[in-house]
Amino acid sequence: MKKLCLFLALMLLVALPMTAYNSEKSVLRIGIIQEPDTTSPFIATLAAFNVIDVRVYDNLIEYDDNLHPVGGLAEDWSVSEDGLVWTFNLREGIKWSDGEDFNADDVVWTYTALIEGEYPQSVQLTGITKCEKVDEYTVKLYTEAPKADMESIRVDIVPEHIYSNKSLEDLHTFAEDSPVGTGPFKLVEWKQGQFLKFEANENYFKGAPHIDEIVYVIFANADTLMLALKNGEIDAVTSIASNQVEMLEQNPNIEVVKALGRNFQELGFNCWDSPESKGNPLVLDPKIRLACDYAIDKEQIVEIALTGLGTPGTSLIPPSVGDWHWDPSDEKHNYDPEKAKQILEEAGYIDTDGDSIREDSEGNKLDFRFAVISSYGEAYVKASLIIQKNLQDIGINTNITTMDGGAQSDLIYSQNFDTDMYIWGWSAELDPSLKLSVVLTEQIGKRSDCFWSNEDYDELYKIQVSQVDREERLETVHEMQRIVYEEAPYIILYYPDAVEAYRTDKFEGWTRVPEGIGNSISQVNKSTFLSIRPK
Amino acid sequence: MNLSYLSKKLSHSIITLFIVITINFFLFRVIPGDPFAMIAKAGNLSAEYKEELSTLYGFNGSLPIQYVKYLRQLFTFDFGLSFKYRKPVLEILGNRLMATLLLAFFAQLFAIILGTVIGTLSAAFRGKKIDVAALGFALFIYAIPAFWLGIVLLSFFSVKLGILPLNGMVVAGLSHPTTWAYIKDVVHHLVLPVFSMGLAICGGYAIIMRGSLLDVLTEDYITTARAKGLKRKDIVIKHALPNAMLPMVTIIAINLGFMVSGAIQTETVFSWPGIGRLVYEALMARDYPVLQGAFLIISLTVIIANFIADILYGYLDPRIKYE
Amino acid sequence: MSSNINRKKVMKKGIIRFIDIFKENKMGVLGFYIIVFFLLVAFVGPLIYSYNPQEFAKGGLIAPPTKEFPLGTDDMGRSILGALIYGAKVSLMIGIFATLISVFIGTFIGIVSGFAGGKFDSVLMRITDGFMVLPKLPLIMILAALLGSSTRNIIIVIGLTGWTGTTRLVRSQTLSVKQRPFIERAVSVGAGKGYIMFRHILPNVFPLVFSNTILVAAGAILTETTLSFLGLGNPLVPSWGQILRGAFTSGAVSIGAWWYFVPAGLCVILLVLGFTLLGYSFDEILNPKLRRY
Repeated sequence: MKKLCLFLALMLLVALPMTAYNSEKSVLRIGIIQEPDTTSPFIATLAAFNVIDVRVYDNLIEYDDNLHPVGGLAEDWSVSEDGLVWTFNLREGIKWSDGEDFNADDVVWTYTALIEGEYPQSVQLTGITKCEKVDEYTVKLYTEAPKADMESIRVDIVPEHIYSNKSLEDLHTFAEDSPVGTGPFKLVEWKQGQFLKFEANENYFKGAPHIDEIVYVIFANADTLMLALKNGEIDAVTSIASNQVEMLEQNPNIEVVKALGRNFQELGFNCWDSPESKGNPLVLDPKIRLACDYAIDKEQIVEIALTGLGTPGTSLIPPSVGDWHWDPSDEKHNYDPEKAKQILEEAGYIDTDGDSIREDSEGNKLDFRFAVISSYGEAYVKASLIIQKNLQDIGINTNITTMDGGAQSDLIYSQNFDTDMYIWGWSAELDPSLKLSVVLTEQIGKRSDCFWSNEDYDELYKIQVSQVDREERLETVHEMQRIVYEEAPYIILYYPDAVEAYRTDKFEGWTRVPEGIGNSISQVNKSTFLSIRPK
Repeated sequence: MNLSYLSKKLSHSIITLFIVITINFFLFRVIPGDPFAMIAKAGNLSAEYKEELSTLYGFNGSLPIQYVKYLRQLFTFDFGLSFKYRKPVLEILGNRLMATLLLAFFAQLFAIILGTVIGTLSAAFRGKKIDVAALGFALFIYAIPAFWLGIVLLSFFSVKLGILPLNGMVVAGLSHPTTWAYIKDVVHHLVLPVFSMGLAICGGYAIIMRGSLLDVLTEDYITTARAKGLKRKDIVIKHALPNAMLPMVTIIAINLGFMVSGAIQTETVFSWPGIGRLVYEALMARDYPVLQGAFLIISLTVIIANFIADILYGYLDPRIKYE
Repeated sequence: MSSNINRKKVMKKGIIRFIDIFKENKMGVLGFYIIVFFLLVAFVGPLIYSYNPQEFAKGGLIAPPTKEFPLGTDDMGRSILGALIYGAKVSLMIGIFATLISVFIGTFIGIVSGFAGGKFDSVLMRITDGFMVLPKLPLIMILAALLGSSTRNIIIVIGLTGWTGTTRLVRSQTLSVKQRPFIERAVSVGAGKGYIMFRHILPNVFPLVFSNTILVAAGAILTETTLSFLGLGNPLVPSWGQILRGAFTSGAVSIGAWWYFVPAGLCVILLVLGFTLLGYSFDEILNPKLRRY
């Protein structure tokens, strides 16, 4: 009897809810599933790193609420007549989070390290040859040719006084526990697998934040993430399992924001025209790929694989990036299986033996291997099943093999591209250059995952990289997308929406970027975190 | 228990450890997927960057050379750097291992106690309703996948009743004013995962306990005790149980390997920051050093546990004790 | 010649006697019926209820049960009842074939090692220990990543990692059988090692192996379910584990879609229970110490 009472008492003690969070501080709690890999901008490759760098660091040029360039650490800037020398005037009076002054030395050190070494952020500085200090608050950047995307560069400026004694080698492993930065928040605690805690930087040069702390809470699954938002344990989430949207929208205290995402997912083909390729040579025929584009019901894929949270895909640069996106309009390849069949018939692919699979004139069947990553969530697998059916309907057979990301990467890069089709995705930057570069001939074996080669496309790329006149550059970029659309090394399946949800009962001031149509929390623009305040 | 038994068991353990280290090494060199290529693709990076990383990690040289290098590093407790985090593997493992050990220890404790009770009840009242109920419960529990049980319990206690937390080891980001407050917070978060994992394991223990006890109850000395008129409760608890516990000791040690499997599932459902989840994430990222390190540490723990179990067994089992 | 006939007669008698005893064992009979039930579902079910994994969005996505979809729909709009029926076969097949691999390896190594004894036995046992000590699920996960997640590979992977328990069991049984006089006689008569192992030891070890096999099968089915749940199974084939994975990744629990999550789990539990009941009943009957007679 005594033991029973003791047991019950213990149970009661344990079941009592925890004392509420210290109510004197205002703490914004955001739930995430992916955590960053490191605190150093010289090491980080995961997208989740922006949880840290957007709060802790600043760039020379930032984005305003309409995603146009505006001064960050640099007050203003100008470029020389020949477009080869950029001069940046830095803001004065900015302090690092450890009290030291920010000045040109920091910028020079950061840029020089990125130029001389090879780090994740280095690729943005292609074409820049030197960074030079002019005086305490002025810096010059020298380029080989006019650099059209200079104003879109996002490079985190690190403190020279912390990094000065690190060699280029050291930078591959050096990471501060609590990085010193100029940004609006400081990372004060990171318990791996559990949470990251940020404190407000009272001395932030654009004004102190209106909240005291941000805690990013790490969840291992989408279910508990959602439940925590529902019961108020967290205030916001940056990703939602698509069929939870409806349920969340019914909650009066929760607002769901569906914004245009900046990703695209594509059906990629093995376009490697080389004897080393282990791909099926039939896939090299652009007519077959074009037919596939007409045969795939992208609307249905968005409906089922994304539960409607996305837009059917067309060109390489997503519409959310603005006018860089080329809209095929009347040249659009609509869902038209009859047209697809027609294209195949005219190209000489006919089913001669009645097995519903077409052959070419020599009897080779349109029978392709389809690699599908099953570890990135379910959307790829669902899309692949729909694609398989669509292609079956026009006489092309596919054999799906599922694997995880590592295995597919291995298949393409280390096994001589031992597959014919695959699904993969990219996230796009605000400037189109980097994304346009992934299908260049020179990127075969490097960034390119389709190994496609087109000389006209390569030429246009070289031109647009230096076209400082926006109108001219727009034309070139559009033409490039059109080539990709017609040759179809990638069939862009969809642009998934960026969906966020936040509670409206404890905090206000959530800012959407771009105004009215974008999302807020996982933006590179810091607006939301500067405007958010307790209700 | 004499020295020869002890040294025999010790040498067995060491050989097993060596075999594990070897399997560990070759296993990871054989998996497809170049982690550097993956890192490069994730960050939209160049082939040059991939080369830099390869050099940094010294993935050069033939397999035998790398193997020897690996062994030498192990001797100095150098488990290498994590590919993903660029931090020493031991550091990454250390944080997470503690969390899992906490969970596993209490889950085992709970499972052993509950399993023993159920198994004993079942064996002592064999054939009666209690036996059927207890055995039925044990078998039913044994058949439930650990993750499913976890989700069901989560839905009931955390969602429906709302009395236990949804995730994590502590309330995220909370600065605990006292150590006692911290302990209370951890305990509060431990309850459901321990209950879930413990329940999932106890079924097997109950069945083994029952079998073992039934075995013992048929022995001659038990029959003698009953003939002498000793009460059933005394017979079971004082005479039979101690002997029946012996096989349990071995089983518990062996079961430690299963702890990781249960841990992976439980940690995924309850967002517990343990080594199980780390292994899963490391596998996806092809973070070999972490995987190798985790495997090694877990195997080592099991080997040590087995060794202790052997010693305990040698101490408790009179047949060996008086050799 | 006559010894062969006698042998067959004796075996037949033994089997009949076994069945008689078995019929009395309620636990075993229950297990047996459960397994038969699922076998029927797996092989006869598809003939009655048609289900096509390629027909998406026939019902709404994750829609609650209706007349047309008695157990609701999954995240691609397909009938869950259909997936359960077709999945029964998959879960059963994977479980049984993987088990056959495990038991074959385990029995082989166990008998050879136990019979040979000495250094050879020692080495084999250390290697077995090595495998037993490796964390099983992570090992399976890694092998699945290595070989790819087709159904055939999953069977191989689960089979290749489940033999250590059987080995130890068979070996210790072999050790005790080895002591028996008729083995000594066979050796002295000059019988070859293979002959002895196959004709004398194996039949005596077999009953134990049989009950162990059934228990291993229970474990294999559980393992496949867990693998699929963690996302390492084959998503193209409807198994119960895949259904549960779909439920988990689409957040079914948080939106209250019990029909997605509960039935598949109950099926797994029931089937594993069936095997376990059967296996333990065999254990009770065949293990002389557990018998009440």
